[in-house]
Amino acid sequence: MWYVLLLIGLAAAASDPYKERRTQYLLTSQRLHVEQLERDLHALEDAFGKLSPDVDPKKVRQIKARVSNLEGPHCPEHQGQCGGDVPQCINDLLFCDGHEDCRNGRDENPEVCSLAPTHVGSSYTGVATWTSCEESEPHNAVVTITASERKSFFPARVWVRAVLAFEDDEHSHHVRTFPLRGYYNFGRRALVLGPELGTKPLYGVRCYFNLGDDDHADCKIVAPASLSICAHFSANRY
Amino acid sequence: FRQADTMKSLRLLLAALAVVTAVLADHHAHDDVDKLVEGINRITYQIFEFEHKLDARLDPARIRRAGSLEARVEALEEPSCAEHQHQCGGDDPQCISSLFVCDGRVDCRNGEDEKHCSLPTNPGDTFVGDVVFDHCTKRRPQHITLQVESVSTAKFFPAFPKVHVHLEISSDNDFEHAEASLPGDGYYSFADDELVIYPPEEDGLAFHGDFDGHNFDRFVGDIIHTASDEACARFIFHRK
Repeated sequence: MWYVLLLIGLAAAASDPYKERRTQYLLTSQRLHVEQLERDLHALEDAFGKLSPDVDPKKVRQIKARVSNLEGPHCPEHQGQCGGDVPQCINDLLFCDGHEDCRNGRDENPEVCSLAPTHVGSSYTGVATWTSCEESEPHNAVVTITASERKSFFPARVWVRAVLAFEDDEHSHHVRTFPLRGYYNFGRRALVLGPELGTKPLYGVRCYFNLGDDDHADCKIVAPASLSICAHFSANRY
Repeated sequence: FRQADTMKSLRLLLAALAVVTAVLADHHAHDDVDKLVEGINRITYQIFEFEHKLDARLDPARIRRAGSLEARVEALEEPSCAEHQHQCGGDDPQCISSLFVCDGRVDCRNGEDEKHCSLPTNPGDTFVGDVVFDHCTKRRPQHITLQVESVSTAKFFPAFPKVHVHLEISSDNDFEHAEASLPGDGYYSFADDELVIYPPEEDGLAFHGDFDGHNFDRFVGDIIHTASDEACARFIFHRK
């Protein structure tokens, strides 16, 4: 009979009702620990999320561009900066001509040779403040590229046609337009526009894309012969 | 016999039940443990992700880059301290004598003058410079290599460690290829983050290496006429 007793005892031990509850208790308390940790972590993450967000890299690029503009041009007239860490100047006729002239090859860099500023349909607009030529309050001015051509034998320039339009008067919404033609200079990142053939030589436009990207430019409306400045506007592309 | 048979089958049944219960209980616990491990893994992953986000903000390379940009703006601004004085900087501008920077005693109210005192030009360091312009050197090299041979710091005057360097110049002209290794002596100034080498030759051309105070892997090296203090050649140096 002893082994019957033993078996019953074993069975009782195996089906110990407290063992399972003990296990459950341990498991539950561990789970609570983990949940508490998770809550603490989320509280930390919330606090972190309330801090000011990271700065847009675009903004950093613009600030860097403004600082280097203040540091001044290192290159004489008709020369462009090779950029990078070691400054070097080369003639702006050598930029984007398919032949590396900078020691670091930056004159053929796709970023430098970006055609974005000359894309047909690109519009550059800003509020023009007139300092001479027109007696008008500050109004929107728009320069729109209408055509562009790059000669295969002289790729250092992109020849463009454009239209300058500005509002004359806020109330009448009278807009004056001027057809222009000119070129884009990669080395100096300059869009230079003068009056179209056969039109009255009233205005020209010079825009410098010196703010770190292809979407912002420092533009001036000038008198075409003397290049004296009539108005100034900070242009955004759209 | 019949009774014994019944007993035997009952015993068997009991044993089987015990095993099943045990297995069932174990199985149950096993599932819960798996879930627990899963929960721990999830939170570990989240903690790592959070840590990554924090590290991205504290990245020393980023802080250095921002500091270099700040130094460029400071260079554009008017100097805020008189000559031979050092700006303590921070939110609490204060000018102290350049001789007091890194001398082992705190002189700035904010203690800035004793915080950045590790020498960027240690024995064995090599910097390679690319020419920007050159109107005066004899050899007109494209590159100059600056090798730091030895450094000695006077115990009683640690603000200006003495530095001994070799300037390796290799030049090519139409007729010959020439190499020169000019030994030069000078000092490093913590106040101006500047390495000054006295003229190694008789031509009176000294060397000034100007660190921006944040990025110590790069500096602007100017060749200077000692008489007029005018820079006549410039090289941009990078740590090799």
